[in-house]
Amino acid sequence: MGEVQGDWSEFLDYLQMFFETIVPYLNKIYLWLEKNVFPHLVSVERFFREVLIPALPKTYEVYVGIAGALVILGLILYVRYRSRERVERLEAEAAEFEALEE
Amino acid sequence: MRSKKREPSLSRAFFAMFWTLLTMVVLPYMIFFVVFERMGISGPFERAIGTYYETLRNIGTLIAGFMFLKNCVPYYSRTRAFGDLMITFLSLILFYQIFMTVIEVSIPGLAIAIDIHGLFYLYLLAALLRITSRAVEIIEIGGRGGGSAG
Repeated sequence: MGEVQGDWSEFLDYLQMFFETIVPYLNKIYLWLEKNVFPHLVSVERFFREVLIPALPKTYEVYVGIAGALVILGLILYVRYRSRERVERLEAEAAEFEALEE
Repeated sequence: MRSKKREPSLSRAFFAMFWTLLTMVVLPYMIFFVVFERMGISGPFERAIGTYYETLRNIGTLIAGFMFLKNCVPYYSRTRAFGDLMITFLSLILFYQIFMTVIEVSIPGLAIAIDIHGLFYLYLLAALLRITSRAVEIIEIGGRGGGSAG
């Protein structure tokens, strides 16, 4: 088992070069978005601030209850899927058996 | 031959739920209330962190439920696509709470206010695209799914 060889400073230099190259472009993209796209999203933000967030339940028990209901629903769907799959498999086996008999 | 990975699996569902709960409820609790309290951080910063933790805990619990539901049904099914849609929407709420909270910390001689609402708009842009794609997915999968459905 050899020791890990290598010089991290070279890697860090390349990393810095990468960021120095890419950040001006990211800045341009962000400024364009801020000028042309974000003003259209303000209404969504307002909906969040004034309607949705105040309507969220405050007590933790509500969230636990919803998550528990989802778990029970998942279990029911799983059992349904498995039983349907089993019936399909049994039917296929029966058809195969009949074909063999004939 | 159907891929095994796309079959519903209870163990996968339990693990997905467990990891979501661990990363979004237990780990933040340990970081915020065990590490920070030992460090003796208090004041407005701690209040902001408390708000973060409550949001993470509430939304994380819901996301864990949807992760369980998602993994209990076949891959190409409406239920799974609906779970994806809800997880995207819930993470949008989570990031709203995290990005729009202005943290103000002031100690003698220094006052810091952190406001990163621009990040929320970026996230909102991405999330709206994702929500649209999930909605299209639900519609295109159709009633009983593409072949074997649940």
